Amino acid sequence: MPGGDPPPEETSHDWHPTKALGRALVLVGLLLVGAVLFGRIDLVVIAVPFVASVAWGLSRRPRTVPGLRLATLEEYAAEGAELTTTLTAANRDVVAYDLVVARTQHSAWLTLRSTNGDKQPDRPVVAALNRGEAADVVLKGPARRWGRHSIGPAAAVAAAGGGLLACRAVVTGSLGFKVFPVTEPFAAVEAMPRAAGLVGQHRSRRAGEGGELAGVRQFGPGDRLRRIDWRTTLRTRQLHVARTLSDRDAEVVLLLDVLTEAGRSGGIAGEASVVDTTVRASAAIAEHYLTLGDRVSLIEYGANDRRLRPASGRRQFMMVLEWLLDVYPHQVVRVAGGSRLSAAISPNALVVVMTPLLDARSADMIAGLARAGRFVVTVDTLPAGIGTQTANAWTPAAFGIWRLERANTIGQLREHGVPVVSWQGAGSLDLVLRDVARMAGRAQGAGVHR
Amino acid sequence: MTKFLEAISRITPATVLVRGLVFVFTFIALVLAIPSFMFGVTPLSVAALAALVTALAPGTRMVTIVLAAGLFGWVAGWLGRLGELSAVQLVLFGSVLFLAHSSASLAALIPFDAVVSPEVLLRWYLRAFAIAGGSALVGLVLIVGASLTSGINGTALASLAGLAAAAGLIAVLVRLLRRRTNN
Repeated sequence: MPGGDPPPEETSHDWHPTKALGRALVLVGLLLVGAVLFGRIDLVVIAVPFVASVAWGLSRRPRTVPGLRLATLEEYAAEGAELTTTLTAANRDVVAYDLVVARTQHSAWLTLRSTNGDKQPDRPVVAALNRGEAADVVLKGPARRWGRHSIGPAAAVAAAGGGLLACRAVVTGSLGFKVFPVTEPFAAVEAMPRAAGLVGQHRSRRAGEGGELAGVRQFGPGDRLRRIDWRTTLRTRQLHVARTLSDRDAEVVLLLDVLTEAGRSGGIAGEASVVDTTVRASAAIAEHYLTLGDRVSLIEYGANDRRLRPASGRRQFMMVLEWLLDVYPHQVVRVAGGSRLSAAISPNALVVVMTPLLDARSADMIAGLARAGRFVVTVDTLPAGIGTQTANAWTPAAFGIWRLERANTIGQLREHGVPVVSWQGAGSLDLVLRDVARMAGRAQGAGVHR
Repeated sequence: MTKFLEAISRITPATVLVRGLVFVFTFIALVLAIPSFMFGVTPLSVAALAALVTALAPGTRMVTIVLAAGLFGWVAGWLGRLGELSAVQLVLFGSVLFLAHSSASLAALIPFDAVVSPEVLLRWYLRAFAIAGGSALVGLVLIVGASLTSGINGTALASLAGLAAAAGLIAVLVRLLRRRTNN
């Protein structure tokens, strides 16, 4: 991937005198004035090296600024994966540079270290460059957190003529990296509450064309011959067919509550904040259901009314990962699109709400969805060990009350039939999906009786 | 305070070496410049303090002030008794003063936390020592020439050489100014 590489400029005004040149001229001036005034040869002798260095330095005036290039092999990576960036400084001048100081900056979540020399991170590198010579600094390290990160801009300054002349800073552009969240292992074997489409991998609660055996019944008009169960037919001497459950796909809506952020984000190997858990859990759930052939959509509950339309397949998974990179917590007075949330969600969809339940509006939103007849599962994204800084003697008591109020909210949601589970990775939702599927079955049964 | 400690922890050995050389050369130059009648603990302490300031702030005007003060001390110290001055002492002072100036120039260019290629230091000091060595030879020739004509305190020769060098310096400055105006 190409980086910023400014074209060579044939302009001498890119180079300016340093303080060293000014100092040398001042000292030479003082010495020579003293030599003339006092008639002292020793002052002339002392001035000789200064005059020689100025004469030598200015006789080798550089014309071109150093070339600087920032390049990388990867455009995207997963959390924890290694990134490699090469910073190249080149001397395109006709004279040698005494030194080139090059440095680059990068996102704090990229732990890049120089592979040559001492493996110190984030330090300027100083090298001497002869005419036509180039020096590479290879920076390598892991991306510690998901998100859109950048490397650069890189900057370089060169000095020539014995340090008497320095060039203006040459600056490159930045390189953008997409670091996708690591999908924590997640597997839900339970049935979807209501499978909607005609194809998919979920066994539904309806009989139909599928692979899951639901029983054996007598042959009737319209039954396909290949469905005949010959063993039962021979035993009973009447035609019997195998009854199967239809395979259906389903729509999963991942609702991300980004009203608040809590906890400290420590990257892939450290603690996870609310947004970290939200993003990683969303990626894992989306990957799981998209692999099964379901349609997955995402909705942000926060300042921006961001939505990703429902779709299935590998391409949708990449879209989900890309969409998740732009999840930022925003504390807002008014939630965009909050009132028409339930109208935008299909009645048959499974709604998985990722929320820390720190804002009363989140609980209201979940209760509203449940009242509107949506199948809602709530994933509690608040970090387990979250605490508070003790400001005074009342802080622990206040924190305890807040904890109790939150537990009360969770209890109320459960009473409304909304399961609330903490995100634990694999199997997090199995238990609650079974309950939701059972509730959906009861609701369907009640509908039939009416 | 935390930032200061963090900055301290980021200092690299190469920058310490260069700033150490700034201190050493400046201190030697100042010690050589102290007039013999003033030699004592206090001037030495002041010289050490000035050298330390130069080493800590090589990119500031303090370097010019300290080196100019050294020159002033030299001029004052040998005023009226130039006959006692040995050629070695004079060449040593000139060389050390130039090396202090050159080291300060390098230290000003290198960030304190930079990873410095050894080649940079090697090339820089090879050039600086070459200039100092070559200048020492020129200086010795000047001294010998002056001694042959009218002794080391030859006023006429110094005035002539000073005027010639001043004319050369003015030519260099005019050339620089013209270049800048053209750009």
